[in-house]
Amino acid sequence: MKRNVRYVAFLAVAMPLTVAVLSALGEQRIDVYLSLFTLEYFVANALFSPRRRTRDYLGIILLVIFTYFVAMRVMEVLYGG
Amino acid sequence: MERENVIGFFLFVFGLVLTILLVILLPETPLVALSVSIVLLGLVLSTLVFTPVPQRAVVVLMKSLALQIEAMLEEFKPEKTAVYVYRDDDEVVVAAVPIRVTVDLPALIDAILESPFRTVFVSASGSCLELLPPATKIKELLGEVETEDVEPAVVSVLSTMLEIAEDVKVTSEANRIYLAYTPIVDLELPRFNECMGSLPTSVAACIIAYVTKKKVKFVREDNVKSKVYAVFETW
Repeated sequence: MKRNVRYVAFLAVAMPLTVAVLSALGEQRIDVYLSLFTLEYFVANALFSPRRRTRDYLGIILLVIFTYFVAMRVMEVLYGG
Repeated sequence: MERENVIGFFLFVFGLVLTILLVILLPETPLVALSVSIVLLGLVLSTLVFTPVPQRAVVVLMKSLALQIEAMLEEFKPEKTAVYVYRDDDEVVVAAVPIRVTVDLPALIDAILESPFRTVFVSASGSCLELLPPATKIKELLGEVETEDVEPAVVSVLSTMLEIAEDVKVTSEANRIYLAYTPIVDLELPRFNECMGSLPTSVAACIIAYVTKKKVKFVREDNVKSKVYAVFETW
């Protein structure tokens, strides 16, 4: 199987599985879901190094979103709810 | 745009509409997260290249080079296997295929390295063909790839750059190097495969010769099920 197909298959299994597990645990924060999607995305990138048409803009967007969520959490810890 | 990219685009649009509708009508976090995952998968699918055209062109060019070598080998009918050596002056890897050895093989290879490049080399040590294998300009091909260790360089070139083999593994023991891989490209060139190893083996030999700066003799190659196992001897 080509590595791009394996990459997509990995993400297609990992993302719904994450939703299923987190929802079973009663998780209601969307940032937790998105952070885990980001993590899975970068793990899949590292494992399969897929061939792309363009630069990895999606990775950049996900990283920005992830950084925003982390920053919000840090602010929450530092300055309180 | 490939078929997979079109599917990805539709998946992206579907996921986006679904996400918006869910946020407005049924704001359940797991459902919204699931629709976001559909958006992400759609984006991923629409940006990937599944049948890279330039890659195929590169493989066709390599096949053409191998075909030319096959024609030369057919003409001279050598019985010994190739020794891959890196010529520092020309920055190329050459495959020396002995036709006649009068003293010993290392002496013949040393004589080749001391002389300027010529296709048919004849000296007191014997005669041999000096061929430029498909990956002769391996220094340029490797570019910025980490070249201190053999395995990462071989894996990077065979699987990532050229996509001519997968599941590549390299191990070494004393003066022997063992290579295992699953070929993606298979050439029906009997003389080339016998003397130089199949295309991925030949490319791997060039990398080993360049990285180790040693003489790399192609010893043999075995096909077991879908895998290829090649053995090289270095000195």
